[in-house]
Amino acid sequence: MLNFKRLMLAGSLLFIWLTACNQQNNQDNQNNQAAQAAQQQIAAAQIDSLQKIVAHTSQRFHSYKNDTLIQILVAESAKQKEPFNSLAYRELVTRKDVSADTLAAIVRRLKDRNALLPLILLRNLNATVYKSLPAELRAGVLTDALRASKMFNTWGFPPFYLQDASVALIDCGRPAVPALKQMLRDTSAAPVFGSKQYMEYLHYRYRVCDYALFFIRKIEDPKFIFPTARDKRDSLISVELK
Amino acid sequence: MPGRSLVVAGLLAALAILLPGCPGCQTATECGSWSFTGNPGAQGPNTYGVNDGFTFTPANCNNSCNCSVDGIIQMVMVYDAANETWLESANGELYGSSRATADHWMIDQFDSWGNAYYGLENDGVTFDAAFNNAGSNGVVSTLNDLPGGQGSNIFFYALDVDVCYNSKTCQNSILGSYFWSWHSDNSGTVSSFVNLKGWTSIEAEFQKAVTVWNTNWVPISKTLVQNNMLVMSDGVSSTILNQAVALPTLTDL
Repeated sequence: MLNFKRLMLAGSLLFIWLTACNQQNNQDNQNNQAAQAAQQQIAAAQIDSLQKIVAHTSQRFHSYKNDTLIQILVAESAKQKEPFNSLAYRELVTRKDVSADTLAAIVRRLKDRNALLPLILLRNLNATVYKSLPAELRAGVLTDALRASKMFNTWGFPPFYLQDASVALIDCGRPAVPALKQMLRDTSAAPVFGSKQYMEYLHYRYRVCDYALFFIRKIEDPKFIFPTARDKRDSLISVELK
Repeated sequence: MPGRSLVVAGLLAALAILLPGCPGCQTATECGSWSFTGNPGAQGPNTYGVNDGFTFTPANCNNSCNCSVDGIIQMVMVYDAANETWLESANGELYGSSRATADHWMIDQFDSWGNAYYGLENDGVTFDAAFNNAGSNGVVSTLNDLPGGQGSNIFFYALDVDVCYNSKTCQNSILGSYFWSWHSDNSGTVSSFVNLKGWTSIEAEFQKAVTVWNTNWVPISKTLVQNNMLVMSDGVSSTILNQAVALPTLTDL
């Protein structure tokens, strides 16, 4: 009898303890869910506020006149902004009243990497005026920009994908080759920023000389297939340097 | 200590209630569990290493589906605080933001990889474990990422969405999502930001990114291939595609 009472008492205590634990777990779950919801709300609100800032910036650039935007475009060239990340470029490329002659004059005056964005913009806005620029001039701007690049997103990731600047450089043809050959000894890193792009860069570890090799061979033979293996790239670079 | 946790939780909950409207801030479908590790400065300044694993447990959402292959689709948005604008790593000159939604979210994929699944090679079968291995019921699918090089003053946001890729009963079902983010300061020093389960409105944005992938990127990728600006080779499998692969409709399990 005594054992039965003890058993009942122990069972009751166990029941009370389990019930309390369950209530505590439910309370914890509710608190966790509430905390999670609050964090989600804060994150959503922050993203929303950033989107508003982005939209405001775009509107501000949309309100600028062409002359102002072109000044900013040249300044962003000097900062090595990619065309697709240049605020001025993004706005100007949507306009139909941008003076091709003004852009061409800037390219003729600057002649170097500082004219990259005006050159690429001109290429996309007015192919006739772009083609009227001497290939030597275009090649000078593009090869100087390539040589000075710190990040290579402006050029793409050969042989997988090419950005406009790369296509423009290949289009220049042989006038670009002497400057490219000078880069064949430049083994500095040629990274691209990004998410998976950065992982791919870490995998292939392209250098400036690899970009130079790609462009030289592509100019010589449009069907050239760029080897991604480093030893094969080095072999081809050695051949080019002889 | 538990008391303190309760107070913090209560304050957060109160904040959630008091903050003005966020109708889409409910945790989205979760049919499993996430295990996230973020490593600021994994490869030096301006880098952030990520391992984000999802284990599919259908019972968690009262389901019994047998998913033989699940994988992760990642959507990202990068904010450049110095210039108060968004940042892209590729695309843009002639075709605009070819993968981005109006709010600048985009499916994160290397251009020459044709599938939206982060680790799915161009053969449409093999999940490359270097990026994201294939999971299944009870088997974790882990996405490995290492964003970097964007520079200082960057806010990087990502949503990882695990989807059943192969199943007789729940193929193309969204099984769960996880949001992660990091920030680099003026000096390029990286710190983790907000990491938590996905919510309904961010998954709605993901659906927009899927739509843009299908309606914009897929046809543009075809044009780029034809113009010799894109070789749709993943560099691993032998399959070379003519264009990116459209995603089917994805729905919550």
